[in-house]
Order: sequence, then C-alpha cells, then structure tokens
Amino acid sequence: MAKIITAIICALIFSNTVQAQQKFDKKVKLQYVGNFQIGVATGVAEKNELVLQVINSILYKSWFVGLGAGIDQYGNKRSLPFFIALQKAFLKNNHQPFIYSNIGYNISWLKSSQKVVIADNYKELNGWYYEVGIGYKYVIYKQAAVGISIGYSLKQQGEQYSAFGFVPTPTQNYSDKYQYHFKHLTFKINCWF
Amino acid sequence: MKKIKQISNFIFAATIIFFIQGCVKDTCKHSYTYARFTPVYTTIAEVRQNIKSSVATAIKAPGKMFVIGNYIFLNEINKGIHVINNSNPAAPQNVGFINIPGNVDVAVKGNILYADMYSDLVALNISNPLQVVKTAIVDNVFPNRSYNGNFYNYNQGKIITDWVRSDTTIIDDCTQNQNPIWFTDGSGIFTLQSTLGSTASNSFAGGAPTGIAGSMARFALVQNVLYTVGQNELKVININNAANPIVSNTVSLAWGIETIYPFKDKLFIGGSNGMYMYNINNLYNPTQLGTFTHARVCDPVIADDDFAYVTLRNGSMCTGFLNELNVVDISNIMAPSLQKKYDLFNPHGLSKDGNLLFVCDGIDGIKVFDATDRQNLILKKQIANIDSYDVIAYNGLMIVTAADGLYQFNYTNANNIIQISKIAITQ
Repeated sequence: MAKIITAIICALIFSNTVQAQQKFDKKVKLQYVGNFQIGVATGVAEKNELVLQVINSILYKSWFVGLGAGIDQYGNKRSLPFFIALQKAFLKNNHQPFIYSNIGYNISWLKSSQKVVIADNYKELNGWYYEVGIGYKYVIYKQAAVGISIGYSLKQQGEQYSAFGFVPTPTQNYSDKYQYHFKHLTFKINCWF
Repeated sequence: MKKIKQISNFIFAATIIFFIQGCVKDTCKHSYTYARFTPVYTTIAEVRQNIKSSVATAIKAPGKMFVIGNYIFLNEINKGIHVINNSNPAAPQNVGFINIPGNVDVAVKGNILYADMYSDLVALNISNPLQVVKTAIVDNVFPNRSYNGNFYNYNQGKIITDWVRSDTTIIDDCTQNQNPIWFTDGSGIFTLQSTLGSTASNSFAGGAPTGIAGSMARFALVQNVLYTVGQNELKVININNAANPIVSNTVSLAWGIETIYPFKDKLFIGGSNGMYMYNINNLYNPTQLGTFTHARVCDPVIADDDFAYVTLRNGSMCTGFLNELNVVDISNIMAPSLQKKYDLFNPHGLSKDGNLLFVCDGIDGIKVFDATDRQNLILKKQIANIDSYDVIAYNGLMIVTAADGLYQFNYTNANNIIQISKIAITQ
C-alpha cells in the first residue's frame, strides 16, 4: 500500500515537471499547469503538522481545474487526500489574488504509533476531504508563479477493530470504531510551473 | 469597473474564509459495540447429571486440543469436547461430543480424560470415546476461573450453562482522548532475573506425558501427576489412581498465568509478565528456578534441552505492544538469557519437532522456521490466510486450530508442506 501511494505521488510530481516544460511555450487556450504546495496545518490539535500537495491542472482563461494528491499529518493521524482541484484567479497582471476549492477522498495511512490500538482485526477507515481557501500569487513568467494561500480544510478518517477471544470470556466479542473529523486551517506556499 | 468587481469577489471570498475560522475544531466519535451475554443457570446436580457423550455436533468455537492415539479431543469453548477420530488425517471424522459446560482445557492419560468444568475438575473414563463414563468430580480446583475479569462463582447451587446474546452499541465523544486506551505497559524492556532455588537436576527419570497438548494448554501431565495452572496458582494433582484425582499440593504463582508446558524435569509456565521455570524432580513439590521477565503481554512457551521459545503478543486482553518470538537460553536454568528475538505479527501457540519450529501468527497464518541455528531462524514456509491459534506438530503431522476450523498438514517433506484436511466450523 505504502509503495503504491508513494509511486502515485512520484508519478504526479514527475508528470508535473515534464509536462510543465513541454507546455510553457504553447500558445493554446488550454494549458497544463502544475502546482506544488507545502505548508502547515493548524487547528486545535496539539501540534501544527506539515502538509504537502501536488496538483496537475488545466488552465482555461482564469480557471484551473485539476487532480491533486497530498499528504496530511494533522491531528497526529496521517492521511493521503486525493481530490479534484478548482482555482479561480482574479486580475490579469503579475499580482493575482485567487480562490480555490478541493474536494475528494481522504485515505487513512497511519503510522503504528498513531493507531489507537494494535489488534488482529484492525482496519483504517477513509472519508471525505475538502478544502476551500484564498491566496495570492505573483506571476514570474507565463504560468510560472509563486504565492501563498490560506485555507479551511476538513478531513475525515477512522479506525475500527474487533476482538474475538479463544479464552472463555463470552462478553469478549466486541468492536470499536473511531471516526475523526478534523477541521483545520492550512497555510501554504505555492509554486506554479 | 470589471476590475473592481473582481476585487470585491475576492474580498467576499476572504470574508467567508475569515468566518470559517470559527469552525476550526476536531471531533472524534467513538462507537463501541459489544455482545452482551446473559447467563442461563442450571442446577449443579443437573449439570453433573448431563456430563455424558452425545452425538457429534458442529464445531463453532474451537479452543484447545489434545492429541492421543488416533483421536483428537478438541475443546468447544465453554460447551465441551469434540471427539475426532483421526485414524486417517486426510479425512478426520467428528464422531462425538462430550457435554461439559464451562470447559476450556483437556488432558488425557491412558483411558482417563481430565477436563475443567468451570471451577471443578472432571475425570472421565474414555475407554469407549463415544460412551464416556464419569469417574470423579473434584470441587473448586480452579477457584479463580473468570469471565472477562469477573470471577465465576456458583450462584446458590446453580451453574452457568449457556448465554443469551444481545448486541449493544454505545456512542460517546472521544474528542478529548484519542490516545491508545488498552495498553498500559509498552516499554518493551526486558529484564532478566533469577530466583533462589535448587539447581535443576539432569537425572530426571520420569516418563513422558501421555498424549500431546498444545502450547496454550493449562493442563500438563507428567508421569502420575496432573499439573494445572490457574490465574495465580499451580495445582499438583495426584493421579496414581487415575480415575480418582486428588489435589496434593498448591503452589502460589504470580498473577496472570496463562500456560504450562512440561519438558523433562521442568515445568515452563507462561504468564503475562514472564516465563517461570519449576523443577519437578520431586513431582509433588515443584520448586521455582529461574524467571524470564518481559513486558506485559501474552506468552505461550515451549522448550527443548537448552532453549525456550516464547511468543509474545499484544491484543485486547494481552495489553502490551510486543509481537515477537523470543529464543531464551536456559542452559543455565538459574540465569535464563535472551538469545534473540524475532518480530512477528501476532503470535499465539507454537510447537517444535526436531529442528522445525511451528508458530501460529494470528491472521498472518502459520509460519514454519528452520531452527537449526537459534541465532538465525529461517522462515521455510508461511501458510497464509489462516487465523491460527494453536498447533501440535509431531511425526510429520501438523494439527492447527484456527478461527475457521481444524486444519491438518503433512510436513514429512519440510520443503513441501501440504494441507491434507480441514474440518470447518459452523457459524
């Protein structure tokens, strides 16, 4: 599982790099734009956590529509959001405010130390992911730009396990389910290419 | 004008984001579903009257097993014992059932079967395994028999013979506490210690136990003595007259005892905090030798001449954070030392035949190791997709109890272990 996820993320990053180079000089209305984001997630959890996201998008006029993936450690519960991304930039000069929205699926990918229990019949639960926010970007050259953004994010995930004892304890059959809803802010540095 | 509109849109969006900040919070919902069992009581006299053979019944909750001759006696947890004719391991026959409510352990010597019935010990003559005859009942041999931490007690002359199940779900808010809740001691730090006692003798002249028990057993037979372990005590039961067992000694142990394994002149007792070794040169007066202490987990144990093999596992009951196999050097019985540990998934019972070590590794299946070099166990075979619990391996035949049934494998050729039969459980 970890290898597959790593491969997907690497593929997204690689495709960004290659395709961005190919698309820079094309004078077409639909243009490919890669977007790499790094930042922190902060909320009521004890620690601020690192957030990384990669988005492959198509630019049409001032709209960016794409597919993205990331890694989010917020809440001491690591997860991988996969999502559809939408960005709308304002103004046409080098200074462009923008708004954005991501919606997708959050795949739980907990470290052993993050699991509530280690048991035989344990499984992680996935859930929804969405994020909305605003930002500012400075266009350096064509689609190449840098910027910052602030967003409000929700990620859902959970854990479930059940126990069955061979020992003579008839009240031992049980199942436990934890469902987490993390609503937090993200502050990110953006890079478009 | 258009520019002003765009800026106002942006400010509007920024305002929304600003107010959304008030919604920053994390929530955790914990739903806990458990099966609640209400006991059904029957009078003790009625229960004892009904300890007898009946027709074969479906295996629903297999527990421990005992192999003797062509028969496998397989515990049905809290119900009794399945009698399985294993003359042909490729086609074992479930031929009968011995109704013993509250039963989880079994041992057989000669024609006498010993079983627990809640806190009592029952002796049955099984000359005809399909028509057993009760020979004795010894009261209160297992006084600390418990259910899920609640001690079992007779209820005004009645005994629990069945449970009526009802499922209950409780939902609570776990937002303030998402930390692990089951484990209290995960240090994983091992300490070695030795207790005072007589040095083990190499001149044990006793006979081998009759039949073979799994490593999860709480009963052990050595010559004419049946040893049983409870939560915190070792009972020495004289079976010189096999049909009429007599408790001759009780030895206090640390709390949390789980298993007992006899080897030559020693008893290896597995507890949730360590492995305890006892000298039984004097069969009726076991004396403690060394102790191998570990973090709090469940730990079945087996041994050979110079080494003990201990599986440590965590889980709902076992607490702890360890899942590993420990190879312990017991050549100096007063100073056992950890030779090597091997990470496993969730190891339960184990068995050893020659240089082959068989380990039930929970849902990771059965693992067969070449244990020629204890410092370098080599995994020869992993039989996956079996939630295995306990194993008995002898003479090329591996018998495994698992969550979904009783399996048998032929390991005559250790490089080509093949499943030869399975009796599936019935839900």
